[in-house]
Amino acid sequence: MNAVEERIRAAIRAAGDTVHEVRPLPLPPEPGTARGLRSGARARRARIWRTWMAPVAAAAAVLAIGVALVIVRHIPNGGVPSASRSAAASPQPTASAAPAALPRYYVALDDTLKTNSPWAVVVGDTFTGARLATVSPPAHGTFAGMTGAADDRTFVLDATTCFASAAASRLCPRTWYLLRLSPGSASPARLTRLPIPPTASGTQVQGIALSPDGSELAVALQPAGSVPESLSVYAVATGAALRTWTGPSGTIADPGEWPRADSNSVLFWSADGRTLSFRNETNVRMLRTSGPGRDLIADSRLIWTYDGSGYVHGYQLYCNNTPNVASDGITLVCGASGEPQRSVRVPSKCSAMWDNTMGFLAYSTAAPKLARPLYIDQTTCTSEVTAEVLWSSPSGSAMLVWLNSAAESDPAGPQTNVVGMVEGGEFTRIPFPLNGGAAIPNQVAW
Amino acid sequence: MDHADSRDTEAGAWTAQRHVTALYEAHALGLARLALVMLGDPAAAEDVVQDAFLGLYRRWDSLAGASVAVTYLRTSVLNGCRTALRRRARRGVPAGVLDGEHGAALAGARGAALTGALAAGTLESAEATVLLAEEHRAVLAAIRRLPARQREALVLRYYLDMTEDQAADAMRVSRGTVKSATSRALAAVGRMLREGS
Repeated sequence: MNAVEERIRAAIRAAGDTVHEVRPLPLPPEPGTARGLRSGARARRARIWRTWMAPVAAAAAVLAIGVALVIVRHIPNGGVPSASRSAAASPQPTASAAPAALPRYYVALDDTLKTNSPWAVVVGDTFTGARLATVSPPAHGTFAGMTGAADDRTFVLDATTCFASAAASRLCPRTWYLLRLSPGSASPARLTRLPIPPTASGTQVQGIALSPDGSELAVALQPAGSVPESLSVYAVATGAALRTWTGPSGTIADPGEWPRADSNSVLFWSADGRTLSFRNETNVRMLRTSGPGRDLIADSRLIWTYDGSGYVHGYQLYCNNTPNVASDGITLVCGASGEPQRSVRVPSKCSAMWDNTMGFLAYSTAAPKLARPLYIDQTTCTSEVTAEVLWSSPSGSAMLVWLNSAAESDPAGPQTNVVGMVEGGEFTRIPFPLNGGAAIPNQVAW
Repeated sequence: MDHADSRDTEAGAWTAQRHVTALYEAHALGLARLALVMLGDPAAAEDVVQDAFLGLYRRWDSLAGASVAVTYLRTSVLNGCRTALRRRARRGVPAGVLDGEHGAALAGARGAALTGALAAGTLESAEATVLLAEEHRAVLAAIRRLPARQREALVLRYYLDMTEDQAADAMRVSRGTVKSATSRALAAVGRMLREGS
């Protein structure tokens, strides 16, 4: 056990040991009255939570924007640009090194280790690592999330005025911005306020996803109070809410408290925009965007569920999180971790606890229990920290991913922290500028 | 319902009451500690534990035995903690407050104002300072910042000494997820402690 583990164990035990007794359990004195007791517990909880049950203020009025808004309806629907097309717009062509299927440009939060100051975003070249532009956040605010269309030129960003603490910023109102890239031009990145309604104070953004053609933005919200969460689709150009579905809290994965960037990895459009998938910690479901109904559960289809199955063949690998849905609407991909299967692998010098491995798995909606490996990291003697899919091609055959692991000798120490592409069973590192080892899922969009 | 049915019901309820009471005496304190580490608030922790036992009582007839009951209780407490954390996050209170808020709870009758101030991190409590050394509070503050699943993994692995398989069962996730969440949490806590030192 290393020093961090020992400190954690000691601290948790010290906290737990401060409890010396519990109050008696009030079981019902007569048979058949147990059900009634539940209401007592509920009443107690109701008292506890009463203070925050009041509804929050209504959303602010939609702001009209002027001629600066770029109409994005003419973006090719669902296509992933070829390298040559991307290269043509680049001031320094490097297309020969760029795999055909991967997006050329990304938008990422800048220097996210700064926790008490605003975050800008940087526009970068996937293959050269060159920074094309830095976009400052709106006055008195910070960017909080980003999502991209399929053309790798169109992004939607959200911003908030709260950045004093990680926890508070999740519940502050978000305003919405369009970022259009024009590499090689005098203004390579142009930011425009969108007329999509700001979120209400106290509402948490569970996830965002821009449609492949850039015309619609899906936003999952968990409002304050014990009300259902919602998934809405807005017209980017007008800000109009086109569809809204609701479901019980927990239907869509909670992004957690740290890191604080709004999640762009829980909602997934199909390339044709006809389906929108969402995931929580155990299930992935798919909605038809033109289908009837407004219920996230009743009107969606379960396409993947956690059932304990993973990939077992030389390595035992299981998805770290429920998988992402590729834009073909059929393929699901996930970052996975596990360990070598000792019966078929030469024993290593590592202790069992740290002889870990990580990789990426794919599933199909046609056979959701059958995992196939896309890539397996064969580094030994590591504490696997994480493997995350940051972007995938429509069929999942090419991905941009993040791998992060640490040596057995010091799992909390310096980490192997790389972003790269996975294609054909190979991992190739790309020159992505990491923010000093900060977790990057949701802090970058392609 | 005839007399025989009535007697069966009464006998069943008495059996459930006896078993659940025995389980409560054996496990409630440990589960309350577990919930406290997850939530940081003793009152909320007790509520979660009591709800879990009441749920067990209601379902007693459909459970297969005491060993299953303990598993049920643990999972129920974890689910209850998740729900409480989600609700708390929505009202803007930092989740899993293990330092200041707990100190307020220990202060007990000193009032809601103190509790609120501590929950907001604006005061330190003498009790918390005594009970939790500075070293522990720094670690707990770092754990507080972790997502719920990573925190659960740490608590199950390092407080309850569960194996990865046991933790996976309790969390209802894969063993790979437990490994990943634990490793990620260790790295994050280590990083936060270095940044704070």
